[in-house]
Amino acid sequence: MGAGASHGDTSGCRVLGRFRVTEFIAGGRMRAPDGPGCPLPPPRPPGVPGLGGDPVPRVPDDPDILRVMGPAATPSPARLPFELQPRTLYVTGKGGVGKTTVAAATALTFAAAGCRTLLVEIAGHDGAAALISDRGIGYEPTTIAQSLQALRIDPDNALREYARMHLKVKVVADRLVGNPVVRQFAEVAPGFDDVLVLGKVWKLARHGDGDGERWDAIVVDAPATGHGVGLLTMVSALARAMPVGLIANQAREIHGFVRDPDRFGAILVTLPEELPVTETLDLHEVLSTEDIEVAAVVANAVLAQRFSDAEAGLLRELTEGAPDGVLGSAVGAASSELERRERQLEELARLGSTVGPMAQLPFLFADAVGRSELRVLERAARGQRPTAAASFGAAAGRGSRT
Amino acid sequence: MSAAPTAASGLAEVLDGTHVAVVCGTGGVGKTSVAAALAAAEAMRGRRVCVLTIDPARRLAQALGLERLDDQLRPITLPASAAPGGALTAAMLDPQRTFDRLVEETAPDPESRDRIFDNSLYRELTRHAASVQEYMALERLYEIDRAGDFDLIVVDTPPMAHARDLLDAPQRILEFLNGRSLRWFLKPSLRMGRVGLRAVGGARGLLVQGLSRLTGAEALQDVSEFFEAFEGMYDLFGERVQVVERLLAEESTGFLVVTSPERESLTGAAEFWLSLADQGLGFIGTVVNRVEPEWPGRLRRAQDLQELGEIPDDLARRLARCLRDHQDVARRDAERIALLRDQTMGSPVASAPRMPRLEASLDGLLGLALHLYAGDA
Repeated sequence: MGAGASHGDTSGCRVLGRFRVTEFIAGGRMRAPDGPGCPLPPPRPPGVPGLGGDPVPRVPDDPDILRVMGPAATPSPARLPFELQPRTLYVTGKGGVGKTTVAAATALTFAAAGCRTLLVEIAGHDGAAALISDRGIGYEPTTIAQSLQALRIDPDNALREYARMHLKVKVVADRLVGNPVVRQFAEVAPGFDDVLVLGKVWKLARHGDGDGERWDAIVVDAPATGHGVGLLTMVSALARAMPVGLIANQAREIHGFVRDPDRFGAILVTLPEELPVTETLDLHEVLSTEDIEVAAVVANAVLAQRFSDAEAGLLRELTEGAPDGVLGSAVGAASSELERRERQLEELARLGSTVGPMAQLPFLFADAVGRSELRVLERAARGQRPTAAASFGAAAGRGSRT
Repeated sequence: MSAAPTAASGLAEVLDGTHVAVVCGTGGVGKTSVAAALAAAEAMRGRRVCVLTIDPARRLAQALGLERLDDQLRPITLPASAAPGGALTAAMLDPQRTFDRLVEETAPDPESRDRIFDNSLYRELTRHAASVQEYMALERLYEIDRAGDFDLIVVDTPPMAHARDLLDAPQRILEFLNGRSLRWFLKPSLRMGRVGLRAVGGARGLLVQGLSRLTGAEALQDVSEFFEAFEGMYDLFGERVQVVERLLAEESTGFLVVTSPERESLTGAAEFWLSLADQGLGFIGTVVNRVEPEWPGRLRRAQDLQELGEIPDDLARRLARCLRDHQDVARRDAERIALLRDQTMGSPVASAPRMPRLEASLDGLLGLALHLYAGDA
């Protein structure tokens, strides 16, 4: 099972525009469909329950927690418009929006569905693998869970590997690494490091782990937007600044790779707030201009709807009576939450009107995200319903890593 | 709602003695709004204030009564209630333009200047290189200070993980432009022309050949020309960096760290405080923004709400759950702020409650400032 899987039969999946709609277990679990023709391979080992045609469990309290926003504005509860075609998925967004969590969860989802999955960290932006396992990771793939490996790419190692492969004299290749001259050159030559890093991703996607085994899915936890887009667009800048040479050849390869929707897609993570949404819209435009596929937009930390419109009206009436004591606090907290949610929905509408359908992950009041939250994915795969408190959104919500 | 602000945070007193306030912190904590709010409040108190923002939300420009903000210093109209003498000016940082002006000022002659402006790497560099935005924020601060018209300059800075990202930026740019090792490395071979690259012997020759196989000789040439263009300006550049650094070290310059109540952000704020203290730099205080209001009262059973407000059973249960969620967050926030107070050894800690959205008006900004001057959110 690899890139370019059949798109023909979509039973088990609903196709929404260019997105493949996949079951999304309430509480933020991604669930891989495995109906015939679905892009994910059958679960491995084959006996994993819960991945067949079982009904998707939902948290009854928050029926619209994962409502899909789109131009059509048809609410579709508990569905995530996530193109789960296994390929290289590049998770990026503004700093602090929960990229790392989304990347880790996406990787776990693929792995739980039996895809051979690789989670890639980029040096200076660590932490995705640590959300899943205590096992330290390095430049070589390390297994951190069933069907899931992880590694961390740093420019120096990428340069060493690249130079060794292309320069006849090993000693020269090794000397280039860590050399102050080369570092300085890398700093001024636009995209030099970026091409090395993305080049490694490309090589991993193309050649696999060196034993000839390729990954079905590669999930890259990319740096924050500024540099994250940089990584994609700098390749073009580099091609201008450095028209010849081996690095330029590699840049051209990468240029084609990131523009092939069968092999590469970006996942944009954002928050339902003004600046993050504006930045995501900018990012979306840049990627469209560059012809790079946006596989999914994920809005993180979206407040659940706790109260119906009628109840919100009742709460407003109560507020007018200026209640004191604990009733005042209860009404006050609820009203402030309602108001915040309203602003969030405005921002989501603004985002949705340009990017189309997006996935939403719930805001959770639980503190930081931990491994146990991510582990819920596995439980979900076994058909157990995740508890609301331990859902993915916690990870993605307050106090999460990015 | 929360209790009214009570004890003073101490921020006002420190700001009184401050000429330059550098506002820093990680991204997504409302740093720019806090900078604008304090600038507006200080102007209302009768000072001539300039605020330099980084990439403000459109709503913030609106809050200041402007359609947009750009590189230009623009006067902001204050309400009539402002204390006499108070004035507010705002601008947005444009790193490219600031860098261009710096080049114009330090270039020995128009030819050198044009050589830099025409170099293809210069544009890429000013847009992408690490530390450029940070350094340009400080450079713009220096420009504004030199113009000399302000009692207080509030500078917003790019989001950063560590204080040294900002503090080391000038030296990092300077070292970079110096490019000594790279120039030394490339020069002899480049002087011999493109063929020369292959003719250099020894270890250096091997390296030059290795690098040029990777990048192409053209790129090496471009890079070399870039550094040569800066060669004549390096000393002047260095002097400027020193002036900027002296401004940061002045008694009347202070740093204000903005954070959210999230654990990682607060830990970062405490680290900021430490590294500023290490360097002997002035510290104004910490602003904890977007704190959950207190929501006083204790609810034993959901039914109590039902009885208090004639609320349907089902709604009462969800209201109770909602209150408990928010009270939990409020308690956690308060505990962490207390911890931060301990960690920063009694320097002012101000906080502001999370607001659904900042009101897009000067009043909205001043409302935020009111919370910051008071002790409790």
